[in-house]
Amino acid sequence: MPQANYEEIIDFAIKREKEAVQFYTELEHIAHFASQKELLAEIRGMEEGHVKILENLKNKSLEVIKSHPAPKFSPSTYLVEAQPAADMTYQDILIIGMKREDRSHALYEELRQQTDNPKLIETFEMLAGEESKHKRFFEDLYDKYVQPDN
Amino acid sequence: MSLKDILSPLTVWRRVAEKPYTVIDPINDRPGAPRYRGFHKNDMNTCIGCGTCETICQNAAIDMVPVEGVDTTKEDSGLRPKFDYGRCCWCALCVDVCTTSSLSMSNEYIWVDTDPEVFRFVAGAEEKPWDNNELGYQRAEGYRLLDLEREEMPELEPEERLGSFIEMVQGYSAEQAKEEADRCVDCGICVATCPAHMDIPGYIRSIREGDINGGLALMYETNPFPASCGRVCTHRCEDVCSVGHTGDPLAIRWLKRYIADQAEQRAYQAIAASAEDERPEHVAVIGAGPGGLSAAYYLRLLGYKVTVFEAESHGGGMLRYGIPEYRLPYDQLDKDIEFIHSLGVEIKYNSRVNHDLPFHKIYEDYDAVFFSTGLPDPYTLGVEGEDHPRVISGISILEDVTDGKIPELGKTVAVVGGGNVAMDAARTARRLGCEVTVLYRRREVDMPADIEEIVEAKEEGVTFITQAIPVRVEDRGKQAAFVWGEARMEDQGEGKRPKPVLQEDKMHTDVFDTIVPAIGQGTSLDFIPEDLSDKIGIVKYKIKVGLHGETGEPKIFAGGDIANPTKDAISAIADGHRAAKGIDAYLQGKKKEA
Repeated sequence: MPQANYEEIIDFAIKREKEAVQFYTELEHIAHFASQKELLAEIRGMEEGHVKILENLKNKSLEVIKSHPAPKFSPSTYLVEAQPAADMTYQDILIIGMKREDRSHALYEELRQQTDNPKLIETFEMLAGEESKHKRFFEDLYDKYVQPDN
Repeated sequence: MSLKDILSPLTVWRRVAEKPYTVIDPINDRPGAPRYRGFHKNDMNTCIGCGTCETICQNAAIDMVPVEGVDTTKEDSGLRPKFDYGRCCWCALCVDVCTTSSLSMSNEYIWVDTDPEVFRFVAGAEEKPWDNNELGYQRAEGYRLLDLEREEMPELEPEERLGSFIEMVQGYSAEQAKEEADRCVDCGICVATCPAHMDIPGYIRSIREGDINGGLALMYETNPFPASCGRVCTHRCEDVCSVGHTGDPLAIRWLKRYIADQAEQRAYQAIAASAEDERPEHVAVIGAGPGGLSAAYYLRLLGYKVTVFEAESHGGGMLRYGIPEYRLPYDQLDKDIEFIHSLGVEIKYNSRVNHDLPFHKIYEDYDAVFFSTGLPDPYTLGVEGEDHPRVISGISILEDVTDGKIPELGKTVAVVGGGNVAMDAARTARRLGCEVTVLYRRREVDMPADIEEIVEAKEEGVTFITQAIPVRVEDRGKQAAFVWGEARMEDQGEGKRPKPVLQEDKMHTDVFDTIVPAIGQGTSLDFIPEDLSDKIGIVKYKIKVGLHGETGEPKIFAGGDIANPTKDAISAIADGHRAAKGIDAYLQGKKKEA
C-alpha cells in the first residue's frame, strides 16, 4: 500500500467505507426492532457520507479538508467489543460503531507512517481525521445517553 | 386714607436688598438627604418580575408590565414594575420587600413636566437623570421584611439512619408548616418551572389559611402523586423561588408533603375531584409508573374506562423500585396509587406486554393506548471482566431490597456513577452494613445526583473518589478488583460537561466484595411490534412525541422517561396529564368524524 499511487489509495479507502455501509446494512437485517434499525440506518448514512467525500476527493484539492486529531485514550480503547446480534442494545450498537471507527483510524494512521509522499501523508491524515471525528460522535452519544450518570 | 396706607407698600422694596428665602437651584443647592426616599431605580438584570412590590404597595401605585427586551424565562416573569407617581407615597415598602434587592430609590425629588403621563414610568427601562445617582434610600443592611431562613426539617441523625430503612425526613409540624408557608410571597415564579405547573402559591396559601383539604384538591388538579412528590420530587421550583435570591428558597416540596400527610387516603374521595359521567371508550395504559398512573387518573376523571398493564407485582415504577424506602416509604406511594385505583382504574399487575399479552392485542382491543414504560434496563460499564459474579447493577440491588430480599454485598462495595441511582445504591449498601466507595468519572460538581443526596451520602459515611474512569474488572476469587485510571478533565465549551480523559500512567487497582455499576439506564422498546414502531417514530431509542404525547400513530400516545429527556417523576406525571388531554381530544375528535 505505501507504494500505491494516490488514486489507488482513494479507491482502497472507498472500498473500506463501502464495506462499512454493507456491514451496517447487514446489521439492520439482523436487528429485530425499529429502535435498533433507526440507529443503524443513521450510522449507515454516515458511512455513505464517507464514500461520497472520498469519491469527491478524486477531483478536488485536499487543502480545504481539515483533519480531526483523536485523543489518545478515549472510551473506545477500554470498552469491550460488542457482538452484532438481534437483541443489540443502544449501548451495543454505539460500541460497535466506535470500535469500527477506531480501527479505521488506526489503519490510516499506520499507512501514513509508512509513506514519505506528502500528498499521501495529507490524504491519510485527512482520512484518519474523518474516522476520528465519527468515533468522537459515537463517544459523545455514548456519554450522553448510555452513561449520563457517570 | 392715611399716610401710612400710602407708604407701607413701599416698605416691601426693603426686601430687595435682603437674602432670598426661596432656593433658586434646588437640585444643586438643596439636594435630598443621603437616604431620602426619592424617585425609584430598578436594576433590570437583577429584577425577576416577581411582583412582590406590586402586592405590597398600599396605594396600588405599581403595575407589573411587559417590557421590550425583557424575555419571559423559567426564572423571570418578563414583567417589570411600572410606577404611578400620582399614587405613590414614597413609603419604600416596595424596596424593603424586593426579593432580589433590585429596587432602590434615588434621593432626587424634583421632576417637572407638563405631560402628566410621564409620571407613570418603568424604572430602569426608561432612562432617567437619577439612574446613576448612588445616594437615596436603600434597605438597611440586615433589615428585611421577608423571612429569609427556612424552617428546619427534622431528620434522623446519620447514625440513626444506618441500620434501618426508616424514613429519614420526619415532616413538618403544623406550626412549622405555617411558619414556612408564611415566608411565601405568592409571586408564582415557581409555577412555570414545575413541569406539572402545579398551583404552588395556591396550596401554600391553603396552609396559611388552614384549608388543608382545599390545598389537597388543588394539588390533585395537576398531580395525583402528592404524598410521593412531597418526598422525592426533584423540586426544581425551589431553584427559582424568588425568596431564594437573597435567602433560603421556600421548602415547597416539604409543604406539599405536609398537606398530603394531613389527609387520610380514605378521605381523599371527598376532597379530590371524582370521575365525570361514564364514557364508552376504553383506554389502555402500559406501565403503572408515575406517567402511566397520572394518565390513568386524568382519563378516569374524564369518564373513560382505563386499564393499566404493569409488568411488576406492584405499581409505582421507579418510585418503588428505584427509590429506597428511607426516602419514599411504600405506604405513602401506595396511598397515592390506591386513590387512583379507587376511582375505578383497573390495574393488571404481573402483565408484561408482549410476554403475557401481545401489544397488537391491546392496540386492537382498546380505543387508545398510552405507554410510559420508563428506563428499567441498566447499562453496563462495558469494560473487560464485567461479567464477574461480584458485579451487580445498582438498580437490581434497589429492586431486591424493595422485594424484601437482602442482596449479599459483602463488606466492601464500590458504586460506579454519580447519579441518584448511584447515591441510592450506595446509601442502601451502607444501611446493609457495607463500607462504600463511590467512584465517578468527573468532578463532584458535575455529578447529576441531587446535591442533598450527595451530602447525605457523605454524612452516612460513603467515601467519594472522583475523576476515576473504569478500565476493567479482574477476578480475585470471591472478590473483584476494580481497575480504574485517573481522569484529566477536558473542557468542552460553555454549558457542556467537561470530558474525562484517561491518564494511562495513573492507574489504580482496588479490591471489593461487590462492584455496583449505576451509570445510566435504557430500554429496548422490544415490546413494540415492528410494523407499529415504524409508525410511532423512534429516534435514538426514544419515542418521538408531540405536546400531548401523540406519536406518529394516532391511536398511540407515550410519555415519561422513554420520551422525555428530563428523567424525573414530576415530568412523567406532567406527561401523563398532557397525554390524557391529548387522548381525550383524539377520542372526541373521532366521535365528531363519525
